[in-house]
Amino acid sequence: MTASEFQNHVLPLRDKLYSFAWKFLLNAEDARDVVQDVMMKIWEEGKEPAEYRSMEAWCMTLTRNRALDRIKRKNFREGSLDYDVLIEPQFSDAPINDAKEALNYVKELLKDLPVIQREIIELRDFGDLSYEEIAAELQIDINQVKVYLHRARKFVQEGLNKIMQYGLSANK
Amino acid sequence: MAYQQINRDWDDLLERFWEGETNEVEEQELKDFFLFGQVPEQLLPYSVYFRSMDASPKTLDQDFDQEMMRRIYNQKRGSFKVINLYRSLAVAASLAALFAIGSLLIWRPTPAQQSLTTICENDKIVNEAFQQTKQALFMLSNNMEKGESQIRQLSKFDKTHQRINATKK
Repeated sequence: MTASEFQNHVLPLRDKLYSFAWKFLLNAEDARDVVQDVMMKIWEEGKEPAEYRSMEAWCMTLTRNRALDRIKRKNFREGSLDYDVLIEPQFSDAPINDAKEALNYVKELLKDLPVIQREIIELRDFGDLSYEEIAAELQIDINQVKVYLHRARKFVQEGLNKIMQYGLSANK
Repeated sequence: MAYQQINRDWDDLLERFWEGETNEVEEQELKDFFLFGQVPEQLLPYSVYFRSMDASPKTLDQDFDQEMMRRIYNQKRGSFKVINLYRSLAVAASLAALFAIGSLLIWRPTPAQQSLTTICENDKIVNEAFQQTKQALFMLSNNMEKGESQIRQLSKFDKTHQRINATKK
């Protein structure tokens, strides 16, 4: 990959990757670092843009994995084995007005999903990838992607229905 | 905006969303509806999910691009010599291999070279044949000498016999 190809194919993904990384890390500086790491990784791979099944899907997957690694490392450094320390939502019975708090709550829901379902729902609903891109990236059939997404969303729906019935504190 | 559509059946669209049957356009409609629309009370709990999708900052700072380009140029300069060395070695090895293969394909021995080659290859057999021939010729020579000697004796015998006959007469 030449510098010019990098500029034309990789750099334009910066905001999308940043937004996606932020949803995991909830921190602007960490999200920026992750995007830089991902882009350097792409540069060091030295592949031609045409060699990727989907450059965007590959970058999104890398971003997700790097962000999760960073959370784990940070928790380890802070002496905690609790994966959710950084994204522990602040529950209250008051309506969720803050988007960040909403994100925390949804993360709390998603963490109980099987790994593959969680990855797919994150790539689709938070990374805005198409079914085709997710299928290509995970190397599974597109119908399988839809099945996993359906299960994951039904799980989320049930979690949100509990709010409807019992309020936020019921799900804690 | 899509969420302002009066006749849109949001309950139905939302149900299809949970079933995983909506496309990207419909999902964007739902996001817009929950972010900017008048959401009925019974659907409010679901707004948590759609607002969470929109929770992050949208853009990186303007220095990011310059910083990235500077980093990749630095990286390029750092690895340039190594890349050149590997590339030079690779080119040299490829040329050597091509030369060797080309030589084998192009070079054909002339008939004289080929017969010489054959002789060289059969040198041992030829030597053995030569030795056997030499030995045979040597034996023939010996036998001829023996024969000549016997014929000489016969000739003497014949002369002697003729003298005796002449004396009798």
